[in-house]
Amino acid sequence: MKKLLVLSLGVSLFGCVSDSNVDPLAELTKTQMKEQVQKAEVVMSDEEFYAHVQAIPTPLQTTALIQALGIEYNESILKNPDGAENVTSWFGQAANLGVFGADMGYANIYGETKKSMDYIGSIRDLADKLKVGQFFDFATIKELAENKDNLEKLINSSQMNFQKMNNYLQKQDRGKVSVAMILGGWVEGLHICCQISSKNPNQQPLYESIGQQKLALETIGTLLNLYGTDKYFVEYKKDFDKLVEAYTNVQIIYHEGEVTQHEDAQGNLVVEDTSTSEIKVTQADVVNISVAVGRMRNNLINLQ
Amino acid sequence: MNKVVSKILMIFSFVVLASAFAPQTVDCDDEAFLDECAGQIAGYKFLKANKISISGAKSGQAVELSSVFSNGSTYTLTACGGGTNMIVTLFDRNRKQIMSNYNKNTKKFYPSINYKCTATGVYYFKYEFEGGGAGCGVGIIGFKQN
Repeated sequence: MKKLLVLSLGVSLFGCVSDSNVDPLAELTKTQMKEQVQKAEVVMSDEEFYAHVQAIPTPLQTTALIQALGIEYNESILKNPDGAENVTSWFGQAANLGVFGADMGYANIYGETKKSMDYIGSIRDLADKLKVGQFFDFATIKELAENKDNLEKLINSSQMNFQKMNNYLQKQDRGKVSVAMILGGWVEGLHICCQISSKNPNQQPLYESIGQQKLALETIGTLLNLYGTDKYFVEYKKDFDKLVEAYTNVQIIYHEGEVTQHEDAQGNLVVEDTSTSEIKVTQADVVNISVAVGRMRNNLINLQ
Repeated sequence: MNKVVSKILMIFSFVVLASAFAPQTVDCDDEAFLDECAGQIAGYKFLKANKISISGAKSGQAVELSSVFSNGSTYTLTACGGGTNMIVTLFDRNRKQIMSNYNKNTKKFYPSINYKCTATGVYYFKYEFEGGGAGCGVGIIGFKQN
């Protein structure tokens, strides 16, 4: 009887210990909870919110294009990784986390792992302040950065870590922190592309990359409106509206084609799509976009 | 009285032991599961990981997400289900179906599908589970420049 009781309790306790259902908000300070934990003001389900966040283009696609075009690495257009420790507002921390993430991605793509490690330090500071540092595997990233043969793994691990931080923030109802971080990254990606384009005006793919960001504007606008009474989002929205205005003349025209598919000799599915697109963006448009995104970026990176 | 207590404890022990040794289902919310699935995009750069969860109450439904694809890039889509086969179907901006990792006619699942994008635009991914059931999984999207 006693043995049975001990066994029952033992198994029950074991079950409790192995349960990883830890309160994710336990480590947030009262101020952090007050400022950052907020359900969206506009009615939107968690699923819809997730769909919007996942739709925002990542800066890595832009920076990978720049590298593929054979354009040299240009460190001068990036944000200096120093000074992260002086950023005290949650919005500044989140937005700059996104900015540094984009800059680190750009450095990684070019194999500039030494510079990448400088960004890792700042990312660690900001992520820890936001209590999401546990999702950034600094040890693995550092190890991967030490060997250039691991470049693809380094790029992918870094991106994955950002995805994990985002997932966690959303789980905590800190969606607005997640939005600030994603938008910081998006703005930096667009800024990098505009700056590189101004130095390489004959590279049409860069014009198209800038132009195609028009496809993300509606989603970003929706996300910003979710927190329309937050003082940081109010300011950010003013800058964003000017960027939307700069995109007015950009057009994307489609030429519909056919989709055909077959299996190759290895049994893989091969799809051929003959649809094409044409992105109409002039040099004047790019200058206007560059000015607008430059203003947005300056306001973000100077946040304390 | 002692016999009643003994019987209750025996039943309790049986239930607890049975659940302790029952086959473990994959926790798709666990970030390690994401790492495991990300291994499937070798040769591509990580773009997004779409976490998919369809509960019993919502079974028969699908989850739709989207992303901007660029002309000049090839994308790989994987569907990593936590115990149940996950189906991912790619649609273009007009929601015209382009491809799926599941061929309904041959009942064949492809571990990943690759799409060479020729038209920049918003593309939609529909995630569902085999037989329209409940399940959880991760859909990883990778890309490379052509």
